[in-house]
Amino acid sequence: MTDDISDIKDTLEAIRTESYTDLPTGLVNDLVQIEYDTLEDREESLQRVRKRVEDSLSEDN
Amino acid sequence: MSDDKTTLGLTPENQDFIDELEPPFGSGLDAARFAMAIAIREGATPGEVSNTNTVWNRGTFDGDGDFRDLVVALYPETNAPYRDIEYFINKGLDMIREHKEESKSLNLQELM
Amino acid sequence: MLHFNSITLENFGPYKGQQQIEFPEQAGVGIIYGENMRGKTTLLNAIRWALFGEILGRGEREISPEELINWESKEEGNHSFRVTLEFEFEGDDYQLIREYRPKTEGVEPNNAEDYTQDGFLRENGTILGPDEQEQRLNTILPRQISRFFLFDGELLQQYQDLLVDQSEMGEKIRLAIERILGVPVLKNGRTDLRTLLDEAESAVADAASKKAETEELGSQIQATQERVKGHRNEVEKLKSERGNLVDKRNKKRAELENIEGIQTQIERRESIEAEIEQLEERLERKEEKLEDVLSDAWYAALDPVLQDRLEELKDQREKLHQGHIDTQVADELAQRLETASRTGTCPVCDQDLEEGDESHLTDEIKSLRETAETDGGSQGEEYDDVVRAIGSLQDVQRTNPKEQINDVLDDLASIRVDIAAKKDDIDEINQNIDESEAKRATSLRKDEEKLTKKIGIKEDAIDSEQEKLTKAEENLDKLQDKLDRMSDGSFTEEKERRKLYEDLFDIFDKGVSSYRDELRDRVEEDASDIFIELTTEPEYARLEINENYGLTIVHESGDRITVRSSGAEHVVALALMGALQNNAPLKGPIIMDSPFGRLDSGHVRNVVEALPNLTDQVLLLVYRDELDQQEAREILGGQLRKEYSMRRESARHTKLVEGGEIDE
Repeated sequence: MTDDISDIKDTLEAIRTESYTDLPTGLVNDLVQIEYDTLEDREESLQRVRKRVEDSLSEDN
Repeated sequence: MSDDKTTLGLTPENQDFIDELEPPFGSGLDAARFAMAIAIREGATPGEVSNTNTVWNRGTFDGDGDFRDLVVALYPETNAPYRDIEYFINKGLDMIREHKEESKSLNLQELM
Repeated sequence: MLHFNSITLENFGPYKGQQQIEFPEQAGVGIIYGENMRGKTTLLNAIRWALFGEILGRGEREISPEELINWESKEEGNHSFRVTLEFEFEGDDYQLIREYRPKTEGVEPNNAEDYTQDGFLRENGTILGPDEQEQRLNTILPRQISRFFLFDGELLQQYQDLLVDQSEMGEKIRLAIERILGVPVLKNGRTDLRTLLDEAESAVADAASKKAETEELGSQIQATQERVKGHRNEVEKLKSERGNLVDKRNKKRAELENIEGIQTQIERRESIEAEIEQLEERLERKEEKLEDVLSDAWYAALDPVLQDRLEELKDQREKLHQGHIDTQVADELAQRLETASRTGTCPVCDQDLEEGDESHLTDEIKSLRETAETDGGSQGEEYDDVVRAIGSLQDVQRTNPKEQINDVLDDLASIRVDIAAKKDDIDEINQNIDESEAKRATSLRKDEEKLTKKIGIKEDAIDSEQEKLTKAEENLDKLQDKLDRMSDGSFTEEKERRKLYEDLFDIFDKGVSSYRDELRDRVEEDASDIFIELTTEPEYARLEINENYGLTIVHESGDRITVRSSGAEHVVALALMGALQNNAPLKGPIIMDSPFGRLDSGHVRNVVEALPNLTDQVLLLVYRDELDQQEAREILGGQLRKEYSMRRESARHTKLVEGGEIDE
């Protein structure tokens, strides 16, 4: 699938800013991008999501 | 009238035939009465029937005595109305059977 | 954006030898004119086969590719065909080749098993491996949503299924639409985050179980997590099983619909059988009634005789009565004359009787006495008998039941005639139904019922398992809260990770429904806009969308239009397609086979005008009566980029010819 998934990112951003302001910026967007890129490969998506979240946790620490 | 019959019977042939009349008649009694009426209407002269087997008690057939009175009214010379009735029943059944054989079916509307 | 460049057919269907269609490069509309049976649908199937390896017939029934080998070339000994599709996607050039040929060269194949299929995908010149190929194709144009791009006007029914809320098909199509619209991105994210959240929760419990104070609680949590996982898996499994059953049932239904006309005939037969049953009940009741009224049938037969006899007897009574009076009078008179004879005086005027009167008187008395004697004692008895007889006859008198009996007999005859006529109807239906197909229909229906039952049971199981899951999750929450309270300050890293995943999961979870709703709103809006352009009815205001992307027409008065012409259905379906194209991350060509079949000229005009706005590449496969060539040229103007026509070379050979005039 082509074209942008900015709609999806916008929808989630709206939810994040409303109730989850603690969350680091860009994390949610990155996850959306990962899922889009790995639509057909569930294993890969899981791995990459885990990694991205771990990176986020280590950044904080 | 003390010589009159106390029971009414059917010839063996008519005993079989009357079964074929139920349906449309609800009972052999209804069929017999109808047969009797047919015979009277067709002008049958009352006589005697031989080799009948008893089917009804005259009280069963004619509880109020209406049919006996009827026969007496129609045939004042009679001295044995129940014997006459028995005759008419069997004669009527013969007639109906003949009609059925000729028209291949029982046409009540015609008979009536 | 997906853009088709060309399609080349070799011995596929009626296309003998190698034939090619080049799609216009610039945005616009291409039209292929061809009569029915010339190969329009086959062209659509060629694209479908190239992309997905399947060929669909009526009712989405799969057709064996063997049937599509060009007959003439087969007779010449060539038992294979090939389709090559060239397209562009996201800047890359692709060539997709699919071939169908006998397994063993040189050996004449007898049936489908003797054939094999190969597909190759080249990306920018390089052939992709089979897995990569499948993945790529699935990304470019997922099969489930292909119906929105390869549009078969004959399959309008599918779109009508969409419009029914709660339908099974509707649900499937909704999922297909959401696929195009990007919802899977969110759903997948949600699933992944759920998995990772479970892991994070496990990690907390694990850490807790390693510390003395929290050991027991930690183990409890772990055990409960296992249970929750178990229930979740079970729910998933049951849902998937249910999905399989629904698929099976849908297949049965599709096959059932295929047994064309049989279904209607069978239903008609059943309805007639029900009518016969009712008539037979009526017959039975009438026969009972007949028995009832026939108990007086003897009277009907005898009535005329009785009436006559009654008349006779009444006359007799009159006579007897009159006679009786006569004798009484005679007796009285005789007595008076006897007195006169004795006294010699006339009883009337009291004068003396004269000499000659004596003998006259004696004669007269004699005559009177004779009259008085005739009555005698017996006259009284006879009169009594007659009176009694009259009484008996009057006693039995009643309304003549003859008319009533005749009515009942007539009714019976009429019912019997009805029954016979209906039985004849059934015989005729039976003659028309191919009994084996009828059996198949009956067996399919039984299967369908069985499957429906099984689905019901499965759904109950899902509900019950879901309940268990919910309880277990509640338990888990309680335990986790307890742990958190107990272990303030411990396991901070694990808790932090868990919190992060919780938040992320919530966001994606809420995102799914939020996004869905937004999408549906956008689709509704776009579909309404397109619909207004396409419809010829000025009083239609907009479209309204339901859960399953079904659309209802809304009148300007606010009323929902529930009963629609098939023209309206068609246009609604097209509006939906256009809206989906607008909102889909996937943009690509739309190929329509007989899209105008049921539309009137007003609608056709509107649709043709709107085509270029639907998407960049539109290809129409139409027959002459469906779309007038001149009119199309006039409406589309410069937007009409290419025309082809299907020329008949022979009954089984069609040639695709570029340009102009349609084959007469």
